[in-house]
Amino acid sequence: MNPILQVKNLSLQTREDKRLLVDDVSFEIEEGESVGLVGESGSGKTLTALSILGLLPAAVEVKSGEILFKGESISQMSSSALQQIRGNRISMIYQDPMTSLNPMMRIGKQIQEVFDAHEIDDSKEKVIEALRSVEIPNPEEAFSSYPHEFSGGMRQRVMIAMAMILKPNLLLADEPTTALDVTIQKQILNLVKRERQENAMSLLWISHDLGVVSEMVEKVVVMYAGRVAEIGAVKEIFQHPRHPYTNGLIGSIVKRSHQERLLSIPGIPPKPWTIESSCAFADRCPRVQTDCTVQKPAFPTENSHSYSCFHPEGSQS
Amino acid sequence: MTKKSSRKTWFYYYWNSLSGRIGLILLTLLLLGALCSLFHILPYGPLAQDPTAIIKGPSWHHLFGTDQFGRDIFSRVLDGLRRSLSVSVVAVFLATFLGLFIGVTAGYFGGFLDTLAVRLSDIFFAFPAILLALAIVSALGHTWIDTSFAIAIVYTPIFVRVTRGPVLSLKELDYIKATKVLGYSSSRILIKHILPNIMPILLVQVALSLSWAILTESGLSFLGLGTQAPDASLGLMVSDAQSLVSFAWWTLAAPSLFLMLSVVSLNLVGDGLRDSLDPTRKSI
Repeated sequence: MNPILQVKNLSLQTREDKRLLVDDVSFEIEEGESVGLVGESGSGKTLTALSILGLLPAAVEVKSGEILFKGESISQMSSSALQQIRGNRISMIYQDPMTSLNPMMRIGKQIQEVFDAHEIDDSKEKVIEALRSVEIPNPEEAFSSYPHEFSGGMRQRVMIAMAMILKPNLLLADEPTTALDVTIQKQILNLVKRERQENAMSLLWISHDLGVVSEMVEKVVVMYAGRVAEIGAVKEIFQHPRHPYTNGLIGSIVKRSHQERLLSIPGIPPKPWTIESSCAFADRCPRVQTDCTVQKPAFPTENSHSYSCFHPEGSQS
Repeated sequence: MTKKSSRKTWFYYYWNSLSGRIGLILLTLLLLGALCSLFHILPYGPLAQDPTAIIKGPSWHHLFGTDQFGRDIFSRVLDGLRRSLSVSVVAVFLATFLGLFIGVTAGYFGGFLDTLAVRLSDIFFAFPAILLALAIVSALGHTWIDTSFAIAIVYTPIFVRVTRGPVLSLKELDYIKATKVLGYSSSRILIKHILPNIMPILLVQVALSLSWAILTESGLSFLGLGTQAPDASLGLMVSDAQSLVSFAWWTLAAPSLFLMLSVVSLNLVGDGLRDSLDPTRKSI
C-alpha cells in the first residue's frame, strides 16, 4: 500500500514571536485508509489539517518538516498547483454548517462553482445527482434554494456534496458533527462512511469525540499540546492504551455500564511553547517520574502502535 | 424547506417600504423631467430670453414664472436638474468603481496596500468635502467633466471605507475561507463571493452619495465654480435668485424646491434599499 499523505516531522510556530504550536508531528495515511486525529482544543489538530492544504493562517509558519501528498511536497508546490489540488484532490468539511455556506448564493450555484473553479463541465444534472447522493429530499427544489431555507443537518449534507463532488482522494473532516444533534450526527457519519467506501477515499477525521472516532476510523493519532502522544490501530488504542493521556481520555468517556465516577485528568494542557525539555503531559500524569520532567520522550513515527512515553501503561513503574 | 411561491424578490420588499415607494415615484418624476430637457422637449429654450416677460410670476404661460432676462424658470429648472444629475451620476459612478476596487483589494489582501489605502483616505477625510472639491475644481477647470472628477475624488474615500470594512469581516467568515479550501482563485473569490455580499451596503451608499453629490455640485455652482452662466444649474439659479428674492420669490422657490426634492427622493430610495436588502429584516 502506498501512503497518500505523509506528514513528516512537522513543526509549526507563530510568525512573530516564534512560539512553538505544533512540535515534530509525523503520521501517514494510506490510500483508502481512515485516520482519526484526536486531541483537545488547542492541541494543534486543526493547524495540522490546514497545513495539509497549505492554508495556514497568516500568523503561523512552518518551522520544519514537510507534508507529502502522493509523494509531492505541499510546501514546494506553486500556489496555482495548490489551488488545483484543493477541492479537487483534497477536500475539507467543517465544524459549523450554519456559517459555511454563502448566504447570498443559491445552493445549486454554490456547488456549480466548484466545477467552474476547476474548469470542469458543470451541468445541472451532475449537481442534482450530487444532492441526491447526499440524501437531500427534492434535489431539484434544493438546487434553487438559499442556505437559510435549510436546517443544520441539511447544510452539512450540502457541504459534504460540495466536498465530494470532484471525488477527492483525501477528505479532511474537521469535527463536522460537533454542531449537530445526535440523530443527525449518526446520519452524517453513515453518509461520510458510504461516500468514502464508494469512492475509495482516504479520510482524516479530526475530533475530540473518541466515540465518533472509534466508529469512523481504522487508525488513531492522539495529539496533546502540539505533540503526538500515541499512534495505533483503533482497537489497540481503545483496548490497550499505552500513553497515560490516552488512558485518561478513554477513561473519561461515558459508558452505558458506568457505575463509578468518570475519570478526569487534573489540570489543564500546557501551552506547547512552554514545555520544551520535558514530556508534555508530565504535569498532569499519574505515572510521572523524574526523567519525564527533564527530557522529551521520543515521538512515535511508524505506523504500528507507538507512543511517546517513558513509563507507559502496563509497564512496571 | 419553504415552498417556492413564498420566495419574493427584493423588489417586493422594496415596494413594501413606504419611504422606498415615495422615493422611487419622486425620483422617476424627476428623471422624466431631466429626460425632457435632454431631448429638448421643454416649453421654452432654457437660454431663450423674452424681453416682454421679465420677472413675471407663475402663470399658465410660465409655470414657475420668469427671471430678470425673461427666461422661463420651469425650463431652466429642468435643464439645471439634468445637468446636476448627470454631474452627480458620473461622479458617483467613478467614485464607486474606484473606491470599490481600492477598498475590496485593500481589505482582502491587507498588508502595506491596506495601510496605504486607509491612510490616504484618512487624509482626504480630514478636509471638509466642499472645501476639497473647491480646491480640486479650481485646479482642474470649470467644465462639467472637471466638476465630476472633483466630486469623484472627494467621494472615493467614502467608498473605500464603506467597502473595506465589510470585506475585513467577510474574509474571516467560514464560507469565504471555505472557498479557499475548495481551490478558488483570489479573483473568483473577490468577484463572485465577496462582491455580492457587500452589494446591499454599496447600493445604499450609492443612493446616499448621489444625493450628497447633487448638493456638492450645487454648492460649487453657487460659489461660481461649477456650471457657468448662462447655462442653467440648480445651484447657480439659487445664487442668481439672491438679488431677486425680495420681490420675486418664485426665482428662488423653484430651484430650491427641485434641489430639495432630488435630495429627499434619493435619501428615501436609500432608506428603501436598506430596508429591502437587509436579510435580517426578511422573515421566511
